[in-house]
Amino acid sequence: MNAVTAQLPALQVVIPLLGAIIAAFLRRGTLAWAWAALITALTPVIAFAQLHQVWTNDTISYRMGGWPPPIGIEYRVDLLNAFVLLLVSLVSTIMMPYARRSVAHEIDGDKQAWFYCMYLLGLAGLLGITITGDAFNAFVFLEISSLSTYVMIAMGRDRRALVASYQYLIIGTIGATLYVIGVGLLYLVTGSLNFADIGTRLAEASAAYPRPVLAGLAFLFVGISLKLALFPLHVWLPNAYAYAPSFATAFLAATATKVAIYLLLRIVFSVYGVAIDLNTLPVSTVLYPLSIAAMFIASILAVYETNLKRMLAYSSVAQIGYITLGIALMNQAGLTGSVVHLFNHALIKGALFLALGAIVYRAGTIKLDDLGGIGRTMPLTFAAFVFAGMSLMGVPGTAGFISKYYLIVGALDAGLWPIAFLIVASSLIALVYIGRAVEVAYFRPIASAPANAKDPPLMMLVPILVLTFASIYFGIDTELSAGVASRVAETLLGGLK
Amino acid sequence: MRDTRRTSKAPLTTLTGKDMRKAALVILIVLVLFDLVVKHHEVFGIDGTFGFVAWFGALACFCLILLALAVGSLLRAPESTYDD
Amino acid sequence: MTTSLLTSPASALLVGALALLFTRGIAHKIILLGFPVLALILVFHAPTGSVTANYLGYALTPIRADALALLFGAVFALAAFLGALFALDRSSTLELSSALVYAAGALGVVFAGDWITLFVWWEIMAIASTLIVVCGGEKAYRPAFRYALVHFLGGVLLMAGIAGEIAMSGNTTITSLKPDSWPRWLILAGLLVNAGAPPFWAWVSDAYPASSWSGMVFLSVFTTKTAAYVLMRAFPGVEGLIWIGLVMAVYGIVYAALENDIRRLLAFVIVSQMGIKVAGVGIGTPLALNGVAAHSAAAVIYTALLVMVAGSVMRQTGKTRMSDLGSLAAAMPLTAFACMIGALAIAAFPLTSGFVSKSMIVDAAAKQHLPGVWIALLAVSAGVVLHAGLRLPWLVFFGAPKPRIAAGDPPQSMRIAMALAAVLCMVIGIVPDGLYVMLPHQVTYVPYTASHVLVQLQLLSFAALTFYLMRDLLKPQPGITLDLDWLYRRPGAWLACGFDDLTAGAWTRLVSGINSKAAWLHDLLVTHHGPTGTFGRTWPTGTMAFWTTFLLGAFLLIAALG
Repeated sequence: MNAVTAQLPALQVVIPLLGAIIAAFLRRGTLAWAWAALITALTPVIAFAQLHQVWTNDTISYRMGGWPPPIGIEYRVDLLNAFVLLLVSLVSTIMMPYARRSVAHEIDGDKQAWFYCMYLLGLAGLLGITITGDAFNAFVFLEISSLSTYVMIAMGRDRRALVASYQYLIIGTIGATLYVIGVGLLYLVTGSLNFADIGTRLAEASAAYPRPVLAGLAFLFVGISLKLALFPLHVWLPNAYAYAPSFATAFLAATATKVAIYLLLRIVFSVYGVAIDLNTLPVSTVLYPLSIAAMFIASILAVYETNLKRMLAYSSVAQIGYITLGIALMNQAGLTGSVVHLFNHALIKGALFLALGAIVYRAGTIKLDDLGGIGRTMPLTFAAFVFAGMSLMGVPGTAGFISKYYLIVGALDAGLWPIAFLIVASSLIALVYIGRAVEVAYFRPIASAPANAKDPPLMMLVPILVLTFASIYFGIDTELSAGVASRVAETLLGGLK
Repeated sequence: MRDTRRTSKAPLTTLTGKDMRKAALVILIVLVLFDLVVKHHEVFGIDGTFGFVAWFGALACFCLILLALAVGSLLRAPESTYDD
Repeated sequence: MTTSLLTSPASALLVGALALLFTRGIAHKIILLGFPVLALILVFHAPTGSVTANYLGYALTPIRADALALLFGAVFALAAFLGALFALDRSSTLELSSALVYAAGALGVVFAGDWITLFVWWEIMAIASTLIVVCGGEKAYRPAFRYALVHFLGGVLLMAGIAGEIAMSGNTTITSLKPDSWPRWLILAGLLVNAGAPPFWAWVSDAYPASSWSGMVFLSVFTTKTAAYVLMRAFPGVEGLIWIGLVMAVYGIVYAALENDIRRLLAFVIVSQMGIKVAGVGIGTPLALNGVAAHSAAAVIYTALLVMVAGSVMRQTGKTRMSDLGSLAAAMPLTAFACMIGALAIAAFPLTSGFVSKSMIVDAAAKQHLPGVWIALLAVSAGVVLHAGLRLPWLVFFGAPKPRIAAGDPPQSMRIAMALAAVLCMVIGIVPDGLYVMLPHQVTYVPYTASHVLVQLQLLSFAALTFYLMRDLLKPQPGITLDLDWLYRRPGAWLACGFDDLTAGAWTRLVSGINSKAAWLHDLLVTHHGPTGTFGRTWPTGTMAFWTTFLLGAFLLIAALG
């Protein structure tokens, strides 16, 4: 047993990576699904074991191939990435039962196995980015997850999926390029690729070469910002989310941007923060206006959007604004809010996009105007949408409230009460766009598309309800989400210079 | 005085409108005359004077009706105003 | 602690609401009536003192049972029972279940000792009451939506205020506050939205008449009265409330005097009666607060009674416009009798609950030497004859003979509910001591002095005389009176359309502007930009690249300058 425990960090990535290859050989869709579900289900077990270990003991350091860092690749699990690993793997696992019907409905039979192969590759890539302690290794996993994402998006039924995928490919490549340039600059000045090692050497390097160190941060920051869809670098996201297969949208919305945010946290706090006083770096200066612009502009765009998937996609951009705002605050409460919103938003958006997928499955459309009365024909699905939507707005007693609460406290702690006000004000816009959907779904006469719809089969319904329940539950029991997030924030801030 | 509340328990047909109006008038006068007997606890000076509440009640009601009519003439609208 | 939370009246009603969803027939009816009774029993067995808990590091007091809470708790549980009895043969399970949740929310607010708990129950009330409005049928959907929006706005104001208050003072307990900081202003504003204060008072007359014949009974009881209750706790003696309250009272009278629809008329009456209570909170002396508490308790019963009467008329005749109604006393004798008791109570006629409660607020104004307030309250007391005190009963049940409407008194359960409410109005009026011992402050008050009785009789009879002489001017006319909701229902719609076009236009121009700039920069900066056809056309990619470059540049520039 101990032998296995010691190898957990490697298994976390290797299992889905090898699983992906095997999935490609399973030609039948259902078989591939079952395989993918099995593989996915193993990942949260590993993640949980690791979180438990980090919570009770200390950071796990794993030497890939036995090579010691900084020469070899180190997998390093601390509280922050153990938390993100658990989030990504757990949400994926909850979603897997949903995948079979939805994917079978939206993707041709002969391509389904490829889809699951790509999904597992994407999952492996995301877990890899999160677990690795090596900057270049993170780039490799970034590319693995990105490439598989492009393919998944392109598999959408809509022909515009191809354009969306292509667009994302270009943007993603630019982002990855900027990231690798940043890593290159850091390597030049510190001679290391290991995050922790760079951190220890950076103070000295920064004194000697201040400009390249700053340029490195700029490239890393902008590169990662493209992947996390920081406003105004978000333009790829609405199309990608709107035209990808429903399951892929839900998976990406819940996990991909969250991992990118993790990477940003890692670079800012564990690499630069430990070496240089963050107040002298322009991170907050850049993040404040962009976060607030995202909260408002993207939310307003969501209000005017008639395609529900695009509406939620813009909402995601806005919600990412809240997360980056918490990063910009750089205090205990703000950072807790950021990390806890990373968690809560994954649950909420997962639930919302799965509900939309169920609507696509039953009613065949997600155009708001065609969905009159859907709340009455698909009662459970839309009730889930409403509850998750309430959580998105931050109604007290829901998970979303906990996030906003910490962010508001963070803003007040920083003495920035106008920002606290803006957080509340922008939440009102979420009320408008969710309210618009509710109005159509419950208060309009039943339209033709939803007339014959009903709640989806149990396999699809249960994941929706589980995630919805979670997005309410974590508003009441905040031990796992806010408790861990608060310790993460403590650790990140504690290491700062 | 409008006295439908009390008279309605009795069949309406036994009393003519004229009788009712006479009875009401008597009651109103008697009520005001009671001011001679009952001692009011004065606070503002005016409230203890003879018949104050009687004329004030009538005047207040008159003013409120005028206000209502003014508001009505300005803001009354057909029921279909908000129909889309 | 857990036990006392589970046995709180609010939790009991939540359980009842859930049980209603899964039962039919006789069990359904027993649950509907039984749980409000259980809640009433639990109110009197509430643990004295406070129950505390912890959430997000804040000390919560989910249950604080003091005199004021017990009074309101008992009245709300009683009203829930009366409403349930009245609604006994209502077929909409959703409405009945929501009604119990709504009552649970009101009881939760009443017993909440801290702002966070209060807010949770507050929102539960908002959601449940919206559902009740929705159950009024297809025509209620839009009013329900507007109702929900106004209440969510109120909820957000309240939430922001509570968050700010906790952040600034660190204190979660509901105590008397002076409105001297922005969070407290926000809390006050959030409470006033629910109290039916300007500028959002139109939600009452917009949503309530849209509900079903049974739904409005519940609606008339809880939302506004809980607002009065929390105002009493948090903002006693805030002078501005006096003026807000008086404006509400006059508005209610004027609009009710013009109104044709009996249920909308009662909605205006609710606002008018709330005005008296809000003004009482503004006066803020122990006598005034006792008056507000007693008046709330009395008003819950008599307003519910009048709304039941209107519901019975609506259900039995299918009509709610006074221009279509009249002379119903012969056909619906019991309903007419109940209406008269309700009218006497709301007019504060001696021997009714209104008399023993409202006079305390008027006297409090006199005792505080506020002549203007006192005169205004007296005038408002005279004004009741223009609506529910005289105009409504007269036009619906007596008055000019109308073509005979074939209708009788409503079914037994509804008759019993009305009779019980009517009896309560009289009992409280005749034996007020039972109510007085439950009041929060120790004040000896004697309602039945010769002077009091005479003043009230003179006031009402001469007001009635004026109304009689001018009755033809206030004949029911078809139509509505425009209200402040016009601002968000008419131009709001135009504005939204215009804004839509405007933003769409601006967005297109912005996009094309950025597009051309991006294309220009793109041509300028990138020499190897591939096949021009495909690349140039996928403009967002170009825009993205532009923004990426821009952000990179900006970051470096700030870094270099900083």
